[in-house]
Amino acid sequence: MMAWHAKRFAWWLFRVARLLLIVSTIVFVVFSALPSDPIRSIVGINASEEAVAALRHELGYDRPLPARYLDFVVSLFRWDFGQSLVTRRPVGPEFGRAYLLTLGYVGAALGLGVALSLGLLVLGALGPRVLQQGILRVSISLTSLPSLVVATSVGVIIVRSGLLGGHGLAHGWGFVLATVSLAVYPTFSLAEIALRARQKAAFSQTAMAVRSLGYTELQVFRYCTLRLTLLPWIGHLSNIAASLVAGSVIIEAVFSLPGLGRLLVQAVLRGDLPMVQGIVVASVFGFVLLDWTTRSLSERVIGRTHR
Amino acid sequence: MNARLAPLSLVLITVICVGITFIGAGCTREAGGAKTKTAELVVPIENDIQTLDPAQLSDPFTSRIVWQIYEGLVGLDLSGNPIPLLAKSWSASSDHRVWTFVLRPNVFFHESEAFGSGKRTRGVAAEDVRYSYVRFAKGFGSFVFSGLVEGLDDFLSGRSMNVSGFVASNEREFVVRLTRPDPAFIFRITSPYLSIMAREVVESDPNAFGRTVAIGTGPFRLRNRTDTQVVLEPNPAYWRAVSGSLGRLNFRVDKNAQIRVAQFEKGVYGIMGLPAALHSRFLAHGKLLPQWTRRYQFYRAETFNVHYLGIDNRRVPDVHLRRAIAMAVDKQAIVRGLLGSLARTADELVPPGLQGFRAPSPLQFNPAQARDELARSSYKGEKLSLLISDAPNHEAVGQFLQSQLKSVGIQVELQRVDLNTLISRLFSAVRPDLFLAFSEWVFSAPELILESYRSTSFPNPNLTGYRNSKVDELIAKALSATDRSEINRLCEQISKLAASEAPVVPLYHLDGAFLIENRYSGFSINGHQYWDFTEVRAEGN
Repeated sequence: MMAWHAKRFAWWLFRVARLLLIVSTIVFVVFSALPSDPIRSIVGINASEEAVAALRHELGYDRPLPARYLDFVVSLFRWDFGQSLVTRRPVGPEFGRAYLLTLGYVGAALGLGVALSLGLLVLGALGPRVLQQGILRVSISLTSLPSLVVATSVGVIIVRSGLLGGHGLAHGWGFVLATVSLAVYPTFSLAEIALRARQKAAFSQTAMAVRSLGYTELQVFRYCTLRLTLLPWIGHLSNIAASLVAGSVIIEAVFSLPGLGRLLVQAVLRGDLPMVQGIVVASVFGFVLLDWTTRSLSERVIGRTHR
Repeated sequence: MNARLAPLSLVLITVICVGITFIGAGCTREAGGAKTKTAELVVPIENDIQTLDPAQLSDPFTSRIVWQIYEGLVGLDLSGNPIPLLAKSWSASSDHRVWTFVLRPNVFFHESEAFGSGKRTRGVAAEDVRYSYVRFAKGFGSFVFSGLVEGLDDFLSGRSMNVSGFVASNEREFVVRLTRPDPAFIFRITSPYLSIMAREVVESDPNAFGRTVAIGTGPFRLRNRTDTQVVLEPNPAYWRAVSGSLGRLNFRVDKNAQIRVAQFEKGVYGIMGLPAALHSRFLAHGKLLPQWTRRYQFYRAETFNVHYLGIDNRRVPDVHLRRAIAMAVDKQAIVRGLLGSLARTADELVPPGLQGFRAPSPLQFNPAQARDELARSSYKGEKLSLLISDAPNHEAVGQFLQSQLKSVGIQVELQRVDLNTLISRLFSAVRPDLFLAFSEWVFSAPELILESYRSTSFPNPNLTGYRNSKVDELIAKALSATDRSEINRLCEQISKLAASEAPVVPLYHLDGAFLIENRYSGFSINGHQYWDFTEVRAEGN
């Protein structure tokens, strides 16, 4: 039994390592093909050719591409991302901090979205039909708004209201507003998915049969339609999580948060390959974990549905 | 999963996530938790704070912060003249090849553990200047000294461990040995970029230096720093007497223009650079609207910058075509229509009035004459590529230029890239025909800026590849002259000759536009964009 688990784990590790190698190679190739020169962008437009050449040599950027790629692969498997080209500091601590911050507010936004969407589901399922229709209409409108519009609107409205006092977005309020702004999309997107699934499940043959036996609507919802509703909802969760991380670029720009999105944009614009590599690797791990989590959840719900 | 536990699990996950929200909010809280005081000034910064290491600084936003902490040998007053800072005096040898700087006594670095456990500070010495200049010469500052300082090329190529031309001849004397006479050398080092730091501070913890450690001699010292905020406090041991009353100077990252303005209107910020998109909300014809004058004052800063249309002289060698391009551009329309009159039209790359220099009249906007020049050229209607970046206003200016050139018969195709890519393209083999660029001059003398026309300066700072042996000759004369009126006369000849061949089309000098709450006074910005807070007083202090 142990051997079987060990074999399974080893196979999973191999698949993750293979995925990392493929994604990192794509990053390396794309960066090498970019027209921007990271060395020139570090030293500035005014630096002399001698200074650019000296720095290029110091950072190893004057070596042939295959040699640089080999070093890149070796460092990847040694888990050494080297120094950021821009800050000349180890990549790990810098993106580790940014990663935790982004994870914090993205996780909080997802949690808030999950909780509120479930609340909207219950309201829509058990309330009058007009309420369900209203929630669906609002959901469609709000999910089509770009996150920049949502975030800026939330920020400006809260600041102008004077609720934050004389400190403005300092003292962590930027973090809170980022969470609230980011939570809008998952809240209404998940609510819309759940309500539509619930509409379908509520008029299934099973639900109608249970209703005809005299069960209340709450009982029908709790014992019959809820699990069917949750299946597509859970499936949508991993898509939502991915889009929230992507949306962090916009949110961090609006609220000036020093998170992963900001770091990634800076690193890409300045050609900071070691930093991009570190972010990509961490993100791959994050998505693998998320994918495993949502699949496990789905399997459990499916298992209970078929019992 | 047990049916009863499933909703509980969801609630638990939500509570944990909301908890992370507030813990994270706490993590971004400013260390020290300063209360608001009337003597605290909060200033927004429109971009991320990069390094606080002056030798690695290339970002104009962070430089506003760094230049409060550090200072150099010489600075610049509001009239554009060099003034002594850490160097109390300087002199040049008769051939202007050896420059000697005598350091001011009793100037101390901010306190740091790197100086030992006793007084935790020490006085600035000539060796600190030598060390700082070598560090600076490796990066951004290389162009300041390139081809000029003895031993620099050997140092950059790795043949030598030191720059032989930078000498700390004794504790108080720093000497620079040049490869050729340079009477204008003092104007090369007035920028705050050339700041003085201490070796033991830099090398005791290289990872922390520039991040959480910044030790200079400036009027403010670092109190604390997060990723989004830098808090400074006055240096109690500053060598110069200042009359400012700020107890705290707080720079805070705030990238979104709408939120920044909303916070400014709520009184969170005391000074704010006015975003171009919101000029019309506060200003009309370059003046503050009456409804705002009770709360704010408008400060306009003329700094050493020029925005220009560069023409690759090798890809566009036809002088008639270049002249046609120059005469097709209505600079006044750009300044009035696109920049809200918060810029001055540029007749030359050199800021007007710098060391008394005024450019002679360049090629004027004249569409009829532009068409004549075009008719005399070999232009057959092919599309010229115009590379523009995401620099402020450049998209709008690029589109305007495209339409102006089209109106005289010159077809232009816009290519939009980010600023770093534009810079890289200018130094690569894939150069555009035309490009929209800007320069923020580190030098403070016209002859040094006009070196941009020198053929041996290609590709940097001569980005266009302009070649004219007569201009080269005049530049060499101007650089070796010592009388200012003679230098300016030579600069006028250079400018007239170069302008007639239109290697570039200077467009405008962009002015800084700032709103300041009326309770603050004494703020100023010099030509190098050094924000001077030393004389800032808050009402009631």
